[in-house]
Amino acid sequence: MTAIMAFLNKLIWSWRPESNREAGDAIVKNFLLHWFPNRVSIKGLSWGYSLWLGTISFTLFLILCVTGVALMFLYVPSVERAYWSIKDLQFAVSFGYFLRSLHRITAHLMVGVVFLHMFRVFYTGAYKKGSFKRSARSLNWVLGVILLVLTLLLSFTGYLLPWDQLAFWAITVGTSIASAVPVFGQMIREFILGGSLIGQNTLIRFYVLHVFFLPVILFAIAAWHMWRVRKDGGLAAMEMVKEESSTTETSDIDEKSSKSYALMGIAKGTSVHIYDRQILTSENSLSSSPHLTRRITIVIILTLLISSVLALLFSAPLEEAANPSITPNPAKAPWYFLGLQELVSYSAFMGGVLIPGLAVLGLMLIPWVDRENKLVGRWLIQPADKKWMYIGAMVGTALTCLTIFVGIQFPSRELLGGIFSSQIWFDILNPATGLLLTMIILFFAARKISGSARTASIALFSCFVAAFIILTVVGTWLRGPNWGFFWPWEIWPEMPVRF
Amino acid sequence: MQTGSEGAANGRRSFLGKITLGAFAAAFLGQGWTYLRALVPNIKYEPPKKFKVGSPVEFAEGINFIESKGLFIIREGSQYSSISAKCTHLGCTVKYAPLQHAQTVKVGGREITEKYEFHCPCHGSKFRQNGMPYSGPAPSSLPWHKLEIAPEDGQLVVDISTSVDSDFRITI
Amino acid sequence: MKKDKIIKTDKIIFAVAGLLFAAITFATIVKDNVPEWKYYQSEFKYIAAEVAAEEAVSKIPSGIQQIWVEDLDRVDRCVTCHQGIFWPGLENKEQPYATHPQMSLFNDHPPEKYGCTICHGGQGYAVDYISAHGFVKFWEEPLLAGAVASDYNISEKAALLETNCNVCHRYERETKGMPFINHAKDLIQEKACWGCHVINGEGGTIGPELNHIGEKHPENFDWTNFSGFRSAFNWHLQHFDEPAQIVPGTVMPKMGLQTRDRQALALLMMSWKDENLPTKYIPGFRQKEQLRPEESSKRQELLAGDGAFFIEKGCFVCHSIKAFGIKSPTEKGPDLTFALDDTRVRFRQTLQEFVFDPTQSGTMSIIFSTKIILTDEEKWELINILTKANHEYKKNQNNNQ
Repeated sequence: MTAIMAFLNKLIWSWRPESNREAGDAIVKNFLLHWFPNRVSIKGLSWGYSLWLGTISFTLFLILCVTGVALMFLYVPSVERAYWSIKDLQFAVSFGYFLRSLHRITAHLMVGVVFLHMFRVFYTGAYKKGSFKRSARSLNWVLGVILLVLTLLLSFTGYLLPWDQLAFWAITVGTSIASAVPVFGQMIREFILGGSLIGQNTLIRFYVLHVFFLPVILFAIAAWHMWRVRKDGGLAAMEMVKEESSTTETSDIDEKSSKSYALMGIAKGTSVHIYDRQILTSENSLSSSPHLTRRITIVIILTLLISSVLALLFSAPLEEAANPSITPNPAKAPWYFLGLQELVSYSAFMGGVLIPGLAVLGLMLIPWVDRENKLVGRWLIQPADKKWMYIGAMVGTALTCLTIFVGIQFPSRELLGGIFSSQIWFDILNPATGLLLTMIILFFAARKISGSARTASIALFSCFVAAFIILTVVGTWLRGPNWGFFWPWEIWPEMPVRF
Repeated sequence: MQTGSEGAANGRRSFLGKITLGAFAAAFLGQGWTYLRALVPNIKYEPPKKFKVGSPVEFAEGINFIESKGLFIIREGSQYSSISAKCTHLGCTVKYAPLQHAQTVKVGGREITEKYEFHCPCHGSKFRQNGMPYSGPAPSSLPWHKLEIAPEDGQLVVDISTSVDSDFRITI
Repeated sequence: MKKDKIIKTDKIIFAVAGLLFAAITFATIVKDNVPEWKYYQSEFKYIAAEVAAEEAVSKIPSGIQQIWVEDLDRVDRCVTCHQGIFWPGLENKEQPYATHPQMSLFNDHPPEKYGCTICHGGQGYAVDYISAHGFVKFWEEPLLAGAVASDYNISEKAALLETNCNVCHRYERETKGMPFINHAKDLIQEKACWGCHVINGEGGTIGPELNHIGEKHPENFDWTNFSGFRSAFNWHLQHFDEPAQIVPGTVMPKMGLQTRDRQALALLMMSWKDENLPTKYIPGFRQKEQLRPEESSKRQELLAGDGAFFIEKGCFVCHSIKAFGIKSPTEKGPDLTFALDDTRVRFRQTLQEFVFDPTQSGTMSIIFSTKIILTDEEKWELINILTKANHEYKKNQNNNQ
């Protein structure tokens, strides 16, 4: 009897600690209790500072995981059944259309919100090291860019799964870009597709990537990303809080040293968050529990709420079953790649390989291009920065519109076809190259004039954002059959039907 | 450290708190329900329970096994009957086992003369000619199915959704 | 104080968000529970009660119903709303409750083997009015109902359906109940279309082959000189009227076709699809063993000759019958030419006695009781044939000698 009781006690030991030490350990070792810092600054907590975009992204990811698991029970990743299992979801499974719409809308939202999160972090200068010892915000910025790429890949792999015309041709267009890589292009594409054509081999690859590999990797990196936020002393808003508080009393905080909790236990030395006590006072902060947890819950619920409403209002599209012999007109990639598709329509190498490659690399390198360790964690306040943000955005807008105009009016192949015969010339001499070069010129011009790498970065980044938005808008709404340009009020030619 | 307004642990929960908690509980129960309900099948991809097995003259005298449907059609001259080949224990397909010599056994108070039996390969259940189990774990008789003649082409129609008495015969 | 205000608003937002989320969850559940088909199913119970007993009405299934035809890879949920299709007596009811107008078609086309959409078109998977009838984007097979027919000024409501009928019946020269397609097939012979086009695998090569013209994607037609509603069917209609106007420079002559002729031919064109049908669905398509010429003529001879009875019943497997030139492949039993004498010698029975009571011979009693079961008439036929054969054979022998 006592043996049984002892065994039962072992099963529930964490609920009923047997000693003070065990009680203490239970708290110290409890991961959930250490998820958040003890106190959190009011600035960091405010709606307006961070816009809570990181929390929203991760919530969207969790919604995607939950709906995704439900969909995995109902979806069949086979060429013969995939499309029809989606039809079943749409018509015969209770809440099937809702789960699918929610999954789809959340995926789109996640891509968008992750982009916005990056914009916020850039414009608040939150990728800079700041004044905390051992902070590594630049590393976290790189992690963030990787998470962005993973989000795009997750969305892209999921795009194929319904196996309809939209999916099939979006992936055909998307993966064909890979073959524009010099020398290894065809090899890379075959590795991605598991063959030279999109078929069962591709479907199962994308499925496994989509439901297992990419989510697991994304989850791990996202966990690291969030952990780093704590290790870097909280949101970059803490820099502001610190500046304000250090003007009053705590000038000697850097000299104090104490023990710190590392990943595997207590470590010697100093870590950033131990300064909390001196920086965060009862005036400028609130205790995390319940005020931070409540706000996070609000954000989670509002995210769920908005995506549910959108899912009920807009049902996910499903076109005809995939048909490799009929290309729909127009065949478009997912919206976040339409900017690239626009550039790809000038040159597959420039628009599909060099520019996106440089964009990702450039984004990752921002913390090293701009090493000015000032104005960390603040939305743009300096007039010069603001001015260059507008200049950058305007140059980006004008330039992109010009690029599209030139692309339509003066197709390089028609103009230069008589002069050059090699594809290399068309890869170099096309509107996309102009766009790239002007952006580089803009950066150096801004640095020269303002004398600040940060200001130049702002100009370049704003130019990039404007170009990205305009290219995406054009690709989504203004491109019709045969990739022709159509104003929103122009009606696309009617596609013929059978009867 | 904590000011009065921050201290939330004041024993009783406020009215607002109760509403919030209630709304959350309802919402999450509802959400959970949608996910669970989605996994309850509304439609089934299964062959129909009533199907044609062929023209009566095509069947040989005695016992015929319809492999694809898992049932036997028994012809005795112009009389036809059909018995399921699905073991009532755990659903394996029973095998037709002819006897060396016809034997007379008493089943359920009646004497029948049997020429063959049905044996289940999975757990050794044995059934008499009329489907009654006499050995092994099978809990009940093999069901006999209703037979009909299709009016349009005269084929035999088996309805496996209804079971009939073991004496059921259709005469053609 | 600022902090107090933050906390207070947060608590209110928290409660409001929770309530809204509960509300949207409730809305989701409600929306899923009021599909269109539930209304039709509840209405049908009242309509069925007019013509059927209470017991039958109580057995009407509820929930999504479907016919799954594995061979054709089709799922048709039409019966979810059209519950009255198999109920005689509802002919005059409005849709979706009415009886199928041609119940006799089900004899040759059992619903469980064909489903609905293979004939009618429409989207079998869908369960709401617009999607199920296929009047939506991204579904290529609309319901070929009267509405579409009247768009093309075809008076017969069911004319377009014949297109789908002919997907299976394409190799039949004439099919009952398909006036349009039959007429079109007449025209094909009358105008000798096969002179220029490959049709059903045979024909000339002056024009394009038309084996699977019904499969051609609408986008792949030449629309440059076309005006009017762009559909493949309409293209054919106009092209049959004035070939040179639609395809300038074509050598296809104007055939002087009437409106009905053009409609019939266009329907026929649309029906020549490359559907992956199991051969058992194609009438007139029987898979046969290919015999060598001498083998097949010999089999014909045997089946046509006086000994046909023995071939049909399978006697020849063991018995030769010299009188009819039948040679058994096994020669297990005695030659039946002499059966009349044999029974006397071996069993001390007349042939007649033996045929009606073959117990003297173990083998034949099994064969006659289980394998070759003859009616009394057939037994008399057998006796007569064998008696005659015996006499004639002997007579011939004598004559020869």
